[in-house]
Amino acid sequence: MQPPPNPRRPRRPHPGTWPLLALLGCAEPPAYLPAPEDGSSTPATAPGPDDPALFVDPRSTEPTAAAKLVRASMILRGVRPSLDEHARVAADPDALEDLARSWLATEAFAATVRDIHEQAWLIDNAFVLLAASDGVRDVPMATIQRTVWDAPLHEIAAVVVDGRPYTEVVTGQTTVADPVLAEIWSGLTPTGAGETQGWTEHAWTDGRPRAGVLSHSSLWLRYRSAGINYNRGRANALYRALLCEDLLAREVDLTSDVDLADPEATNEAIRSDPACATCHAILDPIASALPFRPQWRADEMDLPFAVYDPAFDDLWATTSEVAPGFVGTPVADLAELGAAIAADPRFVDCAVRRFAGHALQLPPGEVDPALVTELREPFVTSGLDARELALQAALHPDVLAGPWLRATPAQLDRQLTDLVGTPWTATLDEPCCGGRAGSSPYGTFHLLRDRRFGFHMLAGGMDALFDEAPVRTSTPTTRLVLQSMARDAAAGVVARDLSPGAAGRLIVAGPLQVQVEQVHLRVLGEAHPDEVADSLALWERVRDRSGDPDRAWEVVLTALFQDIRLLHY
Amino acid sequence: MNPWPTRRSLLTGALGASVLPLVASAASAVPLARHLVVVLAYGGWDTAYAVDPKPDRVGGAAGRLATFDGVDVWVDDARPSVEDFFARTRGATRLVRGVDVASVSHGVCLRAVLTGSHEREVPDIGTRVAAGVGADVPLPCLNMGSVGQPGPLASLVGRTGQSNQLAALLDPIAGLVTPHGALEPWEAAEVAELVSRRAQVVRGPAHVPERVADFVDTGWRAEAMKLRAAALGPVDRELSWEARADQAASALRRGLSRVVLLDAGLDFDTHRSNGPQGALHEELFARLGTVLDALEGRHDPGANDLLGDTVVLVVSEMSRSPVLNPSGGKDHWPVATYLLCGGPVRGGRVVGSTDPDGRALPIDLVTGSAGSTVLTPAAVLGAVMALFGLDNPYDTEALHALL
Repeated sequence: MQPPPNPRRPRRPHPGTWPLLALLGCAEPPAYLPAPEDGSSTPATAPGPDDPALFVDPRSTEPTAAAKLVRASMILRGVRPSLDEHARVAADPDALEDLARSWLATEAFAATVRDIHEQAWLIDNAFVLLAASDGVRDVPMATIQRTVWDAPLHEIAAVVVDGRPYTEVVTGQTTVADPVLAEIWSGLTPTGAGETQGWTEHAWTDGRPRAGVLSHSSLWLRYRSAGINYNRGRANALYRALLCEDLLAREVDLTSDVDLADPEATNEAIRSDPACATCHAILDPIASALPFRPQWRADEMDLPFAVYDPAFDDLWATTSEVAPGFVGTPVADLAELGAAIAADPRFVDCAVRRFAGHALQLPPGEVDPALVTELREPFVTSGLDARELALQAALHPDVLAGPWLRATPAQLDRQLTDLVGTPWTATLDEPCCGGRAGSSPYGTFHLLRDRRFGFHMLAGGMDALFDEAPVRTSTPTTRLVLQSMARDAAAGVVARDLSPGAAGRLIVAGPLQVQVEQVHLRVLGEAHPDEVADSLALWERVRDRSGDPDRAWEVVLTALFQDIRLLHY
Repeated sequence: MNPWPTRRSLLTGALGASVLPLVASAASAVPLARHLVVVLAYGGWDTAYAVDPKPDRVGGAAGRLATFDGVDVWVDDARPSVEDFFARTRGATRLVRGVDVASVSHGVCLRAVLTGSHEREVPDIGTRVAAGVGADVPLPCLNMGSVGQPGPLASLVGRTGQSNQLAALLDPIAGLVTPHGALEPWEAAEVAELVSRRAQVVRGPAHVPERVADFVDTGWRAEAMKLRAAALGPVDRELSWEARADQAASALRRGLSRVVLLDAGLDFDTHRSNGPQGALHEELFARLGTVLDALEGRHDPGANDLLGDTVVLVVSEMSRSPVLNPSGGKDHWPVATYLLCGGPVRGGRVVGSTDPDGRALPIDLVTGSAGSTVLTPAAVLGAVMALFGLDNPYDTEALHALL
């Protein structure tokens, strides 16, 4: 996995950014900003909100190189920059692009790609349970859940991180699986090719058409069909995720003269009444190309379970009687459907909107069309290498200079894991879910990722089942989670970094003042003298009262790990 | 760059003023509401089975029409809890029928009935009411369900989580994360002060004052929640419905929250067979009875009765189609019914109606009789705001007939 080449594309300026920020109240005196890079002095008296000076000094809205580094790192990796990375950018602000490019081969970037596509597909669904039986009887339920829901996302991330054309998301011939997944879904056969983080390349060899992620059993477990709706819900999920258009969100008008009590009249209306046919003409042919079981209960699952069944290949002929197709063009099967989607210009636009939406924390539909146009060009030129798209989106001036973004629970998880060295987890030895499904204990899970027992929702996570918008500000429960997380993280760092003979990861050897400065820079992205002094004073007060330097570090770190700058970047 | 409506604009109603601003209950004998409990019946209940009787549209299911002080309901001996509920709330229940949700998507309809909009960033009714009457309590809106949309008012809302995680988070003994022990009180106070102070002085071009305000505000809310952790009861991960109802009432009674969002935990999405609607209705109304028990304090002899100043709002995101599909089930139908009860509700009346196929019929928003306006969720929710003495924040006229 190599990062894409650096085209050194000149960037357009971003006029107009600072007045907009000023209107948003973002142009208050930058208390911790260093002097402007051109050497001019910062105004001694900060302007007030109505001061016309705000509108004549655009430099006040220019983020520091360190701030840009933090933001780019969080967008692309979900982790804070290392001290070395800070040093590189401090010495040469233009080093950011090369640094960012190097991140595109990391597991943290792959995790970010999974996050982006989780928002597209809303796969991670704690409400649907799987039976822990047969080959996975002894596998903890938390592991099963994680494996099943993450699998399609790992497949997409493999396409992106390997630098393959993004169209392979819907045309790819292979997937990835870990040993647990291979026990759950039938039809998976290892190809003997690459391995990443325990996931190895597999292919579906049960006869199902290969259409990238569209062939994935986990996807159609998440989107089970009501059966009688002939896969229309599935078709819409696909349409929304890949083309950024939610047909079910369109308003339904029941004022037509159709006799809705007459099934034949209703079916005719679906075909001919404009109020109905507009959506059905799109959804129904796509739905007919999905050859998967409509639905099943967890206790009906005999593992490995066959979500694909050739018996459903031509089910449409006896249900909707609408032949498979995509926006007016007939397709023979799922593979042709995937190819048709890949050829639709909206597919590329939607990808751009998703990556830009991630960088700006906007729904894809709200991304500025001009930005979409601007980002599409290098994406296409790169051969639809989504690493290039991710990079250009993250480093776009409007992104780097925009208002605060809010760390998602997944980003909080990754940044703390990176800072502390170990993930924030808990273990439940009791059987999952009242024994309703499976008999295995729930096991070990990431507290910030798990929806069922962890704090994902309490930390502002999005509800996958109901497609809620993620929370973009602090909530009372977020603060409680941050406090608990900070306490654990601080204790973890002290136990690891300050134990005899340990090579410090966060607290490195050196004078206390330097140690605190470096911890501030690593955790907060800046080391302002006043704040460092505050931390040192707290450290000394705790040490004096407890007589324990380790305790002093725990308290100082507990404050740093719940700082507003870990939540907003 | 920030596309959201701001918290301030929402709190001041700047997003949309009422065509006819309402002063709640100014001329009525009912008290202003202080608490709100929203119960969601997810999946799309078949309103023909109870709250919008259509005997020829229930697939032959047995039943009879019963009227409770002007509220007509379809009941049956096989569903005794339905009749029990309406008998118990006789005179204090209103049904609002024929509400056009203009979609057949669960997610979109959920958003519509709870927020009055199809948009993602518009706060739900629980959050709006909490902002209006509950900003002084630690957690104004307690979301015990799986659905809610706080939008820019998210700093006022907290979730219990599927497995009662909030109680676990607040309990230093039984919680999930206790390996290192708590800080000493003086240490915790220093940390809290430092975190808050740093948040207020940090600056930079990306700085968003409202995020800082939310961060600081939620800091004291989190501390106050710890002091009232007992309101959430035991830390059990699997709570019975009765325990959940008690938890909801306790949160209101002990001043932790002013609004609770509950999910009835039932799935009314009966595409394959509509028969289960009967049992689902029986269970739903049994659960609603349990909520009323909890609000009245029946399980706690020392508890005060909250029902007098509480509005219980029950809603499903849609209804079901008028006829059975080939599988014997019913599909989605874009018309909703709201049920309201409680002391502040002037009961004994049905507002709005549907035709024999379940289509929404236009009404007069002031009188509630036949008229020319298609009833929307925003009109209903605007009237719910008025029950709390709050201005109508929606850009549509409120359903005055509800008041």
